[in-house]
Amino acid sequence: MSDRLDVDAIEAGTANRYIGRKVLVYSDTASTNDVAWEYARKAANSGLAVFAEKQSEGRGRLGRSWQSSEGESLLCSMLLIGFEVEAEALTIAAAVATAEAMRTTCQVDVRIKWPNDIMINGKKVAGILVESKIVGERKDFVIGVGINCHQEQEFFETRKLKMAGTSLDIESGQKTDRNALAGNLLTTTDRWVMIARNDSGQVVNEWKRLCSQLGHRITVECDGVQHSGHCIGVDPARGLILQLDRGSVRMFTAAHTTIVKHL
Amino acid sequence: MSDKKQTDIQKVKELIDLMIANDLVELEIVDGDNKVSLKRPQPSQQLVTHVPMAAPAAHAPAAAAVPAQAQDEGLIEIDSPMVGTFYASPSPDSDAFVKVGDRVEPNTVVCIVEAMKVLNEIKAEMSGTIEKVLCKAGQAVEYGQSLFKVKPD
Repeated sequence: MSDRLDVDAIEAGTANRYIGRKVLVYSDTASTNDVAWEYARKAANSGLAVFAEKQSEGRGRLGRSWQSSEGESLLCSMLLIGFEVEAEALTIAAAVATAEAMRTTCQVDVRIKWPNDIMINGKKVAGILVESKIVGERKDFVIGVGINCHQEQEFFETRKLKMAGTSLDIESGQKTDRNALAGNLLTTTDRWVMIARNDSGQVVNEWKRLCSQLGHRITVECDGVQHSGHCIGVDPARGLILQLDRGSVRMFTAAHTTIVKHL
Repeated sequence: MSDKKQTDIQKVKELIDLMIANDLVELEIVDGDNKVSLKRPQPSQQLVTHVPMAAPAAHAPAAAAVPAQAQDEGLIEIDSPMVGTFYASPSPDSDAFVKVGDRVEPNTVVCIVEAMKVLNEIKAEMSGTIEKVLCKAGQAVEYGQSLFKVKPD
């Protein structure tokens, strides 16, 4: 049975969506984020969603690569032009939206590892990369989402990955309908991004519900220095909030911080 | 003799791929005395696809006998691997992937051919310099149609 991405199937039910009102599907490209940035030259392209069956130079946060194999992932980049929202809030909204789309499509229990990893049973199943460019007064964003769908255990065992990986097929025990997942991802991202713009508190509340760090003692590395403490929340503009072991409360922005230890 | 048979089998395989790629149920090509007629089972979804059939001769085995170089000495053509729509740039408002005089490597993306709503980046698959751009953005292209002429290194 063919599981190729199908523009018509993905666009079905997009009537009132801003994100995903236009959909492009590539068979093979270097990076869907790069394609989306090409379209950022024209404001009318805001809301465009770019999918690819294969990506040769997919990237993650902090210059890391995002590995995928042809036809086995859902690779999507969504373009927002002239959007008044904080990049941190957008990352949180995209994480919440990706988690919801996966839950709706595959009935799996999904958690978020700050700032941009989506986890099932402690293993990474999806990643998010929000990129921004400021053009004069205008702020443009590309939200890139990569979801492992059909990969088998072997895929993760044969690669050197920063953390253990898994796929939706492995976790749900069923073959993921990528077109349905794509449609749900556009719908949930559209909704959560609009919420983030109007009331980021609502996004933070949902993030708190799904976050695997909240209330736990963790160690983060920020600009080469390690800090340990209890995670007590997230701020949509300033990042992760830790009650440090030495007493003070400190915020860690996603741009410079990595969780190195999570108990 | 067996070489010719081999070429014919190769051509038929290419035609079958073309039919599958475009969900065609039936295909018939008549070129002088040669006639190829192919049928395959109805696809699950009925599609009405317009496939330009202007140059059947280009698909016929005879075409393979004429090397591309002969038409423009020393130049190699980059052909469209599918029936579709040609796009010269990554987005309508971007600069072209390549223009005349640009150097290309095997992995350089030279254009996009859209087929069945899927965008396919076409790579040069050779090293050289672009000498001619043969198509315009939005133009319908056929399987095997030349898109660029390249002067190889």
